[in-house]
Amino acid sequence: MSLAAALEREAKSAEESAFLLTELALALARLKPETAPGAMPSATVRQRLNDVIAGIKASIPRGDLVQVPHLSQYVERAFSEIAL
Amino acid sequence: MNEFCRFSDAIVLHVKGRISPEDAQRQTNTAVEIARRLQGQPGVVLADEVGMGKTFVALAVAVSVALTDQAKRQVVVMVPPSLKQKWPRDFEVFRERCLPADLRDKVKAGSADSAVGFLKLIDDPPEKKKAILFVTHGAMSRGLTDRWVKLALIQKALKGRHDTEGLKRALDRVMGHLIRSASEHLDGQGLWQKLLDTDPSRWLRILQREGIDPEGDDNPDTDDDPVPQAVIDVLSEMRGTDAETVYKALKQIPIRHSKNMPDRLKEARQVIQEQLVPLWSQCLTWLKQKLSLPLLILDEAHHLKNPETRLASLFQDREAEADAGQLGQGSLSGVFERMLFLTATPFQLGHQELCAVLDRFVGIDWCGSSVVAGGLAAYQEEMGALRLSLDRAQVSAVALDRAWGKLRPADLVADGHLHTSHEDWWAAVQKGGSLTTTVREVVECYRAAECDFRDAEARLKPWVIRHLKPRRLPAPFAGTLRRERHAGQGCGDERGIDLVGEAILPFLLAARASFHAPESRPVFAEGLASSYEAFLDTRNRNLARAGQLTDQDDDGSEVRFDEASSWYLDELQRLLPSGDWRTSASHPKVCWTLERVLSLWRHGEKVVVFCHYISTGRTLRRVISRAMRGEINAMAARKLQCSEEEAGDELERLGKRFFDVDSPLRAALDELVEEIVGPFPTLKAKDRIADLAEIVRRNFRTPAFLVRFFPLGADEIGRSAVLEALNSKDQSGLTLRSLIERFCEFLEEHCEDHDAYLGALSRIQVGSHVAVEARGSYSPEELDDEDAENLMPNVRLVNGHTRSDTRQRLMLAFNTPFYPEVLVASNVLAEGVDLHLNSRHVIHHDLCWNPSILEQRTGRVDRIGAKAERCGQPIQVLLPFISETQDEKMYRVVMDRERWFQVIMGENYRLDLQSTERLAERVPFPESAARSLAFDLAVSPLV
Repeated sequence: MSLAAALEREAKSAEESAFLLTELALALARLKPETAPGAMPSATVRQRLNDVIAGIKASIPRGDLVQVPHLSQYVERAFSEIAL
Repeated sequence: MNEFCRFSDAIVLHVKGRISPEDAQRQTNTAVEIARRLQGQPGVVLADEVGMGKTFVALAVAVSVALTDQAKRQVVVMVPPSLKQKWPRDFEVFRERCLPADLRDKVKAGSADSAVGFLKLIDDPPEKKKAILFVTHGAMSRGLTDRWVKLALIQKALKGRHDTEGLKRALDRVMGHLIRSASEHLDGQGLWQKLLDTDPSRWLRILQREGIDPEGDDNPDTDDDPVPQAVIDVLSEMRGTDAETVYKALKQIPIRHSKNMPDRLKEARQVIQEQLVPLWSQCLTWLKQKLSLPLLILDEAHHLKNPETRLASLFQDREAEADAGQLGQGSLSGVFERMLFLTATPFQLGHQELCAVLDRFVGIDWCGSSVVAGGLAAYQEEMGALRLSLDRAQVSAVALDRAWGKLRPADLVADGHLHTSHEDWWAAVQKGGSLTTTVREVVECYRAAECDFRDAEARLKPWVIRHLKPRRLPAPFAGTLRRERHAGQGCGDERGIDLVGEAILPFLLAARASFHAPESRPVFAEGLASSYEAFLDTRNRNLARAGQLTDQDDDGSEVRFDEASSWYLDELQRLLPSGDWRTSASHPKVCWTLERVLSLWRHGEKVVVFCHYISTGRTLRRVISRAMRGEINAMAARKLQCSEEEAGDELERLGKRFFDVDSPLRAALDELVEEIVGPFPTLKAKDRIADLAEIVRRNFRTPAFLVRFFPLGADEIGRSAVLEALNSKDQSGLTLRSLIERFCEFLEEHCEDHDAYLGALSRIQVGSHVAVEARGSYSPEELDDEDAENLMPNVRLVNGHTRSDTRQRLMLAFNTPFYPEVLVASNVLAEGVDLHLNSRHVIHHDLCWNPSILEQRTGRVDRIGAKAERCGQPIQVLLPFISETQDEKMYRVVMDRERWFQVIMGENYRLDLQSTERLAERVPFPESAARSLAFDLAVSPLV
């Protein structure tokens, strides 16, 4: 979540921030954790990742995207893709 | 020793009004120097930058050689197919304007775009012999296809055989069909049999008696023996058995018409075609043995870089290269005593390729009447030394490039001061002082490269002559920059076109898709930067894995993308707006180009827009047309203070008055045109004045002209209004009157081009829309648009699909003050085309990874005698790019590589995302550094 906060801080606009956060969530969703000896089980890692993704999703202020409906729809689709 | 070439003092290259005295002097010096060098060496490469008049220099050398040659042998000029009409046209201008009257008749030119055509030109009797022969590239490689040669071969097959009378009678009924010559109508009339019974050297008289035009050009002056002497000689020496297969095939043709006839004819045709191959091969041997010509001039010689190309193999082959002690065995090797190669891009070639081009000189006639100093051995020794020297220079350049690649912005320190300008920093570095370790390494490499470059330059100088365009306009505007570049959004600070609002998302998605395929070229991001349509086309064709996106695909590399990339591309495709022209015009760069074009059009300036993607070209043409139409209506309504609809009707009414024979408006315009044409004697002929008046009238009455230049709201619409329109100035400060005067002056200089130019202008559609009745003047592909009825005739599209006659017409018409005013073109218009007389604006809507192509494109409007030289204002080169996207990265890389191209020969850099990313981050190479390393191969001014 620190990375998400940094991205939010560095973004030049609310739209850019929304896009970057969505991309971070997508990147995390695409990770495929594997179980290794001495490491956390993959299901636990997946669960943690999903928590972070949920946190990121919550941090995107949807209200700021009213002026840019395409971006707003993209964010929605991206998170529905993640849910799948 | 025989004198090979004495430059003829009678040649005067300065034609007042056409080129500046400085340019003429440089051209003369170059021609004199080439003539001098050819005395003692086998060849020279003339590699002046585009638009500097290489053609006229070469013609001056060709004519000098033809005049010096005591045996009156012919000079051959091999030209690309795209320029096969331009060269002879330029030669006629040269003959008329640069030669005194007494020499004009001594040097005439002939053209051939087939092997038979060439053979015919070389066997003309002395009184008809042409001094200069223009031969189209490929003519000699294509071999024999001519109908009369086929007939001569058939005659040979029948010769000396018994009982052939019946067969000849049968053949007389089908010969036209057999030799496929559009002469089927002659079948069954006894003509073929008569020809078969007569020696081919007497065929011309028979054909003329029968009213048959052997050349098929409706010009009795060009009538020549239908079968060249070379073919007659070769056939007469051929053994009868060599034509046995043809005879057998002919025997299979039924005596009377039967259902088998078409099949038998087809088989016989095939056999004849096959027999033409060895016949041509024997003709080439004949050429080698019998023909000796003084000079070959070869245009676009960079195509010779590959010894395996068919053109290159005509002069030399690989065996000859390996066996330096023997003459080349290429078909034309040993035919020419000297060679002059022309190219504008010698250093686009790798250094080995440049050497390969120079190696073609080995194919000259080393035993000819004019001896080369030191002979073959000395030449080969010099080539060897040159190759080694160029190798060293190339190694140094690559080392410098590597060292430079290590520089970071933090290294731009000299004497403790951190510079923001890389040019200022480099100037400070030259003065010495404390430098970082990386910079010291760069400086060391630079010094080593300087040394190796000067050595290579000295060895290259005798072989290659190259002049660069001056950076300033010639007198009387000597202080003015010749070109101004405006990059990005064109505000002078190299800032790109900003992305705002909804336009951002597609570019972000394209960037993400590219990120997931870092080893591929980011073709989707590149397509998106051009237009939404180019992206969609790229995407759809990539999915289908087929089709052509551009006229010249850069590298044909396959794009691999994973699931993630595909997801982004699908999203992007879903997002892209589709719909009417306004949606297309909402693309940031399309919108920028549209606004620039409209602004220039409003001010009366013609503009060429180059784009890479076929779909972007179509889009630009559509959006510019639609926006211009809206602008015309709005301007008319404003000036006439009425509704747009009423204004449109009024413009229509006004336009018609120019065609009403009783209208004072028409009378006034005709009178003024006559006044303008008055001082030009060859144009004063009644029909020429009428042609010009019609052309001016057609353009004058168009809504596009009327709204901009005609005093629409004036109380009195008569002679004064016409005068006001004629005297209104464009952005360059030139009035339409002065532009028409200049055009008349140009026609006066190019008398032989009257028909071409006036014909093109008469056939170009004008008006306000693509009328149904005028559709014939377009290529079908150009109107392949659902929005065709809304296209403006003054906005035209030229790409690889455009028919060559349409392309030719558009090029000629654009180079006049009349329609079309906007030319949207692909790279097909980047070479060998003149668009400079009435335009000084070029927009590179899409960049090209190869900087030479960019230069070639700009060279279309930057040529000797360009509009910029007349109005004293710079050529405007606009390079739009979208900020912080692949487009900006491409701009930075191409501009930097343009400077490196002057240093590293034949560089072919990788275009994948990772590589271009790395290149874009490099500290730019200073122009001053590039210039001081680049080879200086200019001819020193004569004392």
